[in-house]
Amino acid sequence: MKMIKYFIYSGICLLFMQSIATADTKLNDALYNQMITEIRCMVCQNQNIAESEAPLAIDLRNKVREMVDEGKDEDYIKKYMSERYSDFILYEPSFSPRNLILWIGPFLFLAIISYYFFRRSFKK
Amino acid sequence: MKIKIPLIIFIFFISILFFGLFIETKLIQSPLIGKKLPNYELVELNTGYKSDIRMLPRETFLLNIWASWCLECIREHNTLTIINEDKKLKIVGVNYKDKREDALGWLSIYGNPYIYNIYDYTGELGLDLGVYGVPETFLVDKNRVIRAKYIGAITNDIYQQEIIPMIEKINEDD
Repeated sequence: MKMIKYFIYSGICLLFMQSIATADTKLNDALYNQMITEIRCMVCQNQNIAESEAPLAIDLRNKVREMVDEGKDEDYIKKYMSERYSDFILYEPSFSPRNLILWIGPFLFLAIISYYFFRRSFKK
Repeated sequence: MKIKIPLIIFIFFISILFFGLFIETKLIQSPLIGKKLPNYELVELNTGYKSDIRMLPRETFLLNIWASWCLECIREHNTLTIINEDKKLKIVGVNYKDKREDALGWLSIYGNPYIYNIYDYTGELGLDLGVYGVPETFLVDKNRVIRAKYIGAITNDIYQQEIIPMIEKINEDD
């Protein structure tokens, strides 16, 4: 009976210790898991590096893991990747002057079209 | 006037899409052009001596990333041999994710056009250079600034028509 109690207690203790130890890495895991779905695998361009088993994707995953563990944030990791592999590596391109037309273009297009559309219907 | 403007927009839009068909999406312009080579601390392939950025030639040279497992590199090797015999450019090799014995064997079979090889077993230098497929080649000037990048095998045409004019331009700038 004593033996069982001892096992239960030590089990609970272990659980606590483990949760303390992994609390930090769990936070990191969230960022890691998010980052690897947002980075394109350059050799298999319609997959992200989470899905791909290409050697380069594995290297990049390890690099992301390394940076996450060093406490680097999302912006740092994205910048690191795009400085080396161009904006193409990011599924969601950054909001930079070069990419302005990409972000503003569709809205501009919509505005022009609706302007002409309304003007025509008012004239009638 | 009423028909013209939508028509212009339509033609403009269609022409963007049409020309988009011919964009080579696999060739990605390197963001590293105009930037300095990243530093590295690796070893030389043959001797195992430490090798870093300070040992690179103080003149315009080619940095060629290759591996013995890369079939396209064999094809490219002919051109590199010609470039080496031409004596206009030195070539530094980066042996990428390769076994040392395989790499040395490859060099003894096909010949060695490199002044020396940087041994990048883990691919860390490759990662810093944005390498995603071998062979890739960088044209680096004497200040260790990357001036051009060539993805895939360098052919004689690329050498004659792109690299040589580029070297002349770099030399004029100096």
